[in-house]
Amino acid sequence: MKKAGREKKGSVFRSIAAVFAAAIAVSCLISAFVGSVSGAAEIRNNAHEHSAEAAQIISDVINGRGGIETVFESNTTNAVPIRKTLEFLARGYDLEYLYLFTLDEENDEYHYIIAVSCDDEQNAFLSENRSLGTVVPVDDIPKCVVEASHGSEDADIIHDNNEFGNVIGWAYPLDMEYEGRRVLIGAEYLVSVINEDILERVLILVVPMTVVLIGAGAVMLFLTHRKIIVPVAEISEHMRKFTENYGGKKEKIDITDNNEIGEIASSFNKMSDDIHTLIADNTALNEVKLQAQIQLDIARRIQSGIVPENLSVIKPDHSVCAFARAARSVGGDFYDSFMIDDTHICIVVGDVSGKGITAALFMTMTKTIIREMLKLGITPDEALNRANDEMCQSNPEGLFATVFAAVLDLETGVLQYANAGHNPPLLLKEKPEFMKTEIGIALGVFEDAGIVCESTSLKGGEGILLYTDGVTEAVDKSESFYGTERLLKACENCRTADETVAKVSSSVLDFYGGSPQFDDLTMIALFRSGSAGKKLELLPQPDEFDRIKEAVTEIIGNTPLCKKIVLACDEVFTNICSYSGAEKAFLTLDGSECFTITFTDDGIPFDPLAPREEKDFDDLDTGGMGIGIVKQTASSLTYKRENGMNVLTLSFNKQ
Amino acid sequence: MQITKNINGESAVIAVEGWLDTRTAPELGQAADELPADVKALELDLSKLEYISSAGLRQIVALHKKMEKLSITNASAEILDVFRMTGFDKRLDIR
Repeated sequence: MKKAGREKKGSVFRSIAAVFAAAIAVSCLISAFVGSVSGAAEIRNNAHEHSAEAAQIISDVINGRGGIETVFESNTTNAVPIRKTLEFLARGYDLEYLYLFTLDEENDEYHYIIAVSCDDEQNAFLSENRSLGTVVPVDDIPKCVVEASHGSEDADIIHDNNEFGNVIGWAYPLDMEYEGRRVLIGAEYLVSVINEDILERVLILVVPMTVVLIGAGAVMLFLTHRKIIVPVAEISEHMRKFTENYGGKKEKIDITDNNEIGEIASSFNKMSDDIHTLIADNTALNEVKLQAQIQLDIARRIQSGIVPENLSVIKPDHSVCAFARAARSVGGDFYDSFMIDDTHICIVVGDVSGKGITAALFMTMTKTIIREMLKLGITPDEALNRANDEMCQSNPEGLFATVFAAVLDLETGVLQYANAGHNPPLLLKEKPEFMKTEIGIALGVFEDAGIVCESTSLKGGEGILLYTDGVTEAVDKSESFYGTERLLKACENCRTADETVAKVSSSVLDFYGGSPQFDDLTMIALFRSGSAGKKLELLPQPDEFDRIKEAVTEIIGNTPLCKKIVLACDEVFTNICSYSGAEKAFLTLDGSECFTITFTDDGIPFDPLAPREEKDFDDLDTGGMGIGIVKQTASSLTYKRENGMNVLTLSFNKQ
Repeated sequence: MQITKNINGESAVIAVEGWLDTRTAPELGQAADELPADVKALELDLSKLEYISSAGLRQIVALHKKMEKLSITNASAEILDVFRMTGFDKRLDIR
């Protein structure tokens, strides 16, 4: 492929050579044309002169011999010297025909006196056929002959192509008369002879010039090739290699000429070096960036282990749900939730000043210290005060954290809490309201934070929502804040932790829309459960279904999933009521990982998972669809017969 | 559950509102039984139906057998889901 591409490429040298050759050819053609034109003119002049000279010489000779009448007397040898002279002149001037004649204008006739030729054969022919007294009628006498017979010495050229060949000639008057008519001399050249003459002249002019031009051209081309084409090709080859292999091997052009080419070469060498260095630097920089990104990714993964994006725990006596989303790879918000002992659960939310890795590290430390303190079983205010002391001792960057910590006694419903500079949480009772708390100083700033403990109490179905300012200070596209009113509205009628967090987080995220000013967003809700979540003892009567419905709704909240679970429970419970003959049934609800509902009844053994025949559509009015609905609704379904009881467990994934 | 009937010659519309389950399904059956004998085409308007269980579906099969023409209209996505689970969507005229 490469080779073909390179073969197609044009060559500067070839173009220059072609231009040169064309220039030489054109100059040769021009000089040939000029040569032939000027040669033709010169030959014509010469011929004219020659005939005039011949006329002069012949006149002199004839007059020297006693005049024309004497010379051309019949039957004398007087004319012999004239013939010799004419023959001599014809040979000397390469004249094909040289003759003396008179013009009889009245009868349109040429009267020949004597005619000779430079060619021996023609000469013999003429002495026979154009001897003295030969009369030749001429149809169309040339104008020049008429003019000459009237004494004109500048008669124009005549061109004849007849039995005497393709000739051009002249007529010139002699200063004498024969038989009463002016004697004329005719001189004719063969055109072929003239052409040969012209060609000879042109060749003499063109050949040496061509040789000189070709020689000069060859030398120029050779120099051009050696001084320009070869170095340019070398530079081009180096450039090609260089572009094919950026940052690889260095390319150095070894041309040191002290001229433009040498300048290009040295500039290229410098550029090659510079780019090589730049690429090396850039590669190194990219690697550093990549490493940093990898480190950040690891940090993010570690942080998502420390503060998971979602948390949902549903126990018989309480439910906890949390949501956290960092604006960047790592953030400074955190939440925590853990059991201190069997009857005390703790939830914490915090916001660390600053962003990025620094904040994330400080956050990790803060979260760990607070958890360790709270796990000691001390009150939340004491835990935060002690954590503050620790943090003040190891805080070179002067960072601080606002924290809210609460501990719920699951038996009494007493909620103890302490606030270190954090947003007031929402108390979720009949109507949601903001808690009025004593706000202490944020942790990590002063040794004596003076955080105090306060308390309230939660009944079944009541809860608390902790959040960071990413919620209330969320900004939409028109730069208005989410604010407290929207938060209160989102929490209305929420009766479980899952429902509260789901509604608030989706409300805030919807509010953000595509707004780029996304802040860390963190919230955690804790609810105390009512009777639901515990074991329900049911009578196998259709009316008891209302209790199941209430329990499920209370623990799950009024969500689409809740309705699906209610439908499955409806089908299972209807079966128990209608067919099992059971006297009692139990139901337990649990929701830590997924929602798990177990029906236990003392009716006849019935395995809903056993394969059974499919009914025709028109027979479905007698039943047979319930189990199908349960199977399609539940994520998993297990059945066992245990201690004379049917135990059917349904699980539902939370998503 | 609330049932609203609207009779117009040979066709009738029954609108069902609320929960259609084991305890309320017989009410729908009764409402259908009370229709005049010449009613041949029945439309069930489920726009305000919040919930349906298999007992409700059974009652619909019974209506399907009883009526010459039965159509279901305005069912919500949740209700349609239950129809799909049981293959009802393939057998009933659901609009």
